[in-house]
Amino acid sequence: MIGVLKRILRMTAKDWRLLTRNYYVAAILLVAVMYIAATRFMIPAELNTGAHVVLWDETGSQIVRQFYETHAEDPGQLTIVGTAEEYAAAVEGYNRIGLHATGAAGLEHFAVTYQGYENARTRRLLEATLHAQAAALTGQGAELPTFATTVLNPDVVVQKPPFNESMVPIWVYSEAGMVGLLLGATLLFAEKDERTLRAIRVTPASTAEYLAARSLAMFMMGMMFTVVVTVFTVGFDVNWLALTAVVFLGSAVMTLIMMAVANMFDSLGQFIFAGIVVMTLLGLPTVAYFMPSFSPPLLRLLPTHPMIFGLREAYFPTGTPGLMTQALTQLAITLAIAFPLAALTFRRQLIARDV
Amino acid sequence: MIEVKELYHSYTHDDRYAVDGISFAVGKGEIFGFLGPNGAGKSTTQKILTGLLPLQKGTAIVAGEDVRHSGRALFNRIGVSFENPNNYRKLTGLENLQFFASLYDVPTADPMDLLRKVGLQDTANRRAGAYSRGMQARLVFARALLNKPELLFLDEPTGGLDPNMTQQVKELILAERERGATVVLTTHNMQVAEELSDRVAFLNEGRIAAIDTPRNLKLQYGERLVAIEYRTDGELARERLSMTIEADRLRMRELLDSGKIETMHSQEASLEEVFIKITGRGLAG
Repeated sequence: MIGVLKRILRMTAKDWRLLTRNYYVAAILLVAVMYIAATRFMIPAELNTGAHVVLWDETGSQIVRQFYETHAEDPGQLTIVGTAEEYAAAVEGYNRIGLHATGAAGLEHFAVTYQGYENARTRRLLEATLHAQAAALTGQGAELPTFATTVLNPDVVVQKPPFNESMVPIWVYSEAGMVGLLLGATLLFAEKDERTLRAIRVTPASTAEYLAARSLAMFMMGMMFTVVVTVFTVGFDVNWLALTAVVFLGSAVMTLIMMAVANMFDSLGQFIFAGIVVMTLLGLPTVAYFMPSFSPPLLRLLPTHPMIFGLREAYFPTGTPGLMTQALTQLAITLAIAFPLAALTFRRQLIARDV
Repeated sequence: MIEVKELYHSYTHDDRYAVDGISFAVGKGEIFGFLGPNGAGKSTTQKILTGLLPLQKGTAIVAGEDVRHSGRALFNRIGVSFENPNNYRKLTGLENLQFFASLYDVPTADPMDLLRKVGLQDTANRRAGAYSRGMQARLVFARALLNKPELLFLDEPTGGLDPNMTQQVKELILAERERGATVVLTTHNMQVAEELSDRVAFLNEGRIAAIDTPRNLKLQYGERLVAIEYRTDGELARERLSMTIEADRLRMRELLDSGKIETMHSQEASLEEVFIKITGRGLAG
C-alpha cells in the first residue's frame, strides 16, 4: 500500500513538473487573471433584463400615470410622455414597450406597442399583468378570485448573488472540469510521442496508479485556479470544504473520462474532434445553470451537472438541505464507476495500440 | 530463467504470424542473443516476454512466473531497455532516473552512479530533450539497470553509440552478468552479439532458424578459409580459398609451389556469414 501511494505521489509530482515546464501552470494562472478581470471590471453586478415602459396616459383622471409612478419597481425603467409625437419617439428603442391608456374619465382602453421580437410568452405575461392592473384601476378587482400562498420551506433565504459573481462557478467548472482535462490529455499525447508510457509499463506502476496520479495533478491545477479566482472575486466567505470536494471529485471524473477517450487516438490532432464532441456533451449542463427550468433527466446524469450545481451551492448556499450532499454523492458514485472502467479501457488500449 | 514454448503472435489476429511458434530457454546468468534482421520477430518476442504485448498462444515463463498471469511485482525483478530512446524530454537526465527509480518497491541503484557509468555525469542536470541520440540511448540503458534486475532485456543497446561508448556498454553488460544477472540481448549487430552472447538464436520471419553458441554455429555452418596475398606480374593479388573444397586446396598448393605468396592467414566465417548461409538473407535488411 505504501508502495502504491509512493508511486502515485511521485507520478503526480512528475506530472506537475511537466505541467510547469510546459508553461501550462503559467497559462492557467493567466486565464485566472483574465477571469478575475472580467468578473470584477467587465461583467455588471446587476444585469437588467426587464423591459423599459413608455407610458402615455390620456385618461381624464391620469389614473394610470399615478399608479405607475407609485408602483414602479425601477423608476429608471419608466418614461412618461404627454403627446403622440413624444410617445412615437420614446417607444423606439431596444427592449421598450409602449402603453397608451385612454378614457374620458377613468381607464377605458389600453393600447400596447411592441418592438416585434418579444415572444408569445412575454406578451401573454404582460397582457395578463395589464388586465390585473386594469381591473384594480377600474374597481373591478373585487370580482377577481383571491389568492393564498403556501411556502414549503419558509426558512430558505435565497440570496441572489451579484450577476458577475454568479459567473464564478462557471469559470471554476470550465477550468477545473474542462480545460484541466484537456491538459491531462495533452500530457498523455506527449508521453505517447516520447514513448515514455512504454517505459512506465515495464515498471511496477499500474495503469490505475498512473490514472490516479494524473487525476491528482489535474485536481491540483484546478484547485490552484479555484483558489485564485475565488479569493479575488467572491472572497473568502465560501464553503471551502465543499468547494474542494466538488473540484476534487469533478476534476477526477472528467480527467478519467478524457484520458480513456484520448487513449483511443495516437495524436492530439486525431483526438481533437472527439475531444470537442465530449466537451460539448459534458458542457450541456451549463444551459441548466442559466435556465434552471431546462434540466431533463439525461442532462442531470452527466457528471458536469452535479459539479456545476455543487459549485453554486458551495459559493452561494441556498440552505436547501441535502443539495450539496446529493451533488457530492452523485459525483462520488460516478467516480467509483468511472475509475475501474477507465483503468480497464486505458490498459486495453495501451496493449491494443502497442503504446 | 526464461522458458518459451510454441510462442505465436499475430498483429493482424490471423495466420500471418510475426512470431511463428518459437521455443527456447535461457539459463540463469546467461547472455542470450536474439539475432535477426528488422521484422524477424525479435522485438515482438521481447514485448511479449516483458508484458507489453499479450501472449496470444504458447507459454512463456519469465523469472519463474507465467507472463500470462504475472503481476506488476515481476517488474521489480526485470530491467528493460528499448531500441528507440524513450525519455521524458522536459526532465533532466538525473530527474528521469530519479523518477523511474521511485516506481520500484526494491532498493535501487544510485541514479548519479549509473549516469557516471554511462558517461552522462557531466550532463546529469541537462534536460533529456537536449541530449544527442547516443546520450538518450545511454540514459535508457542506465534506466534498465536502476532496479538491479535479475533479468535484463536489452533491445539494440549499442544502437547509435560511438565505438568508445559501445565498448563501455559492452563492458557494463558483462559486468551485469558477473553480478549474476541474465541478459536477453536483441540486436542485428552480429559483432556485439558474437562478443557478448553465450548463445545466440537466429530469428528469421518469426521462426528460430538456429540456436547454439556462436562458436558451434561457426564450426557447424561456417567455412574455414585461408586468405592469401601473392605477387603476379609485379601486382599484388588476393584470394580466399576454402580449406575443405578440393579445388581450392589444389589452388593453394599451386600458389605455395610458385613461391610468390607474401601473406597467408587462416580465417573463420563471421556470424553474419553463418546467418546468411542458414537463412539466405543478411542481417541488415
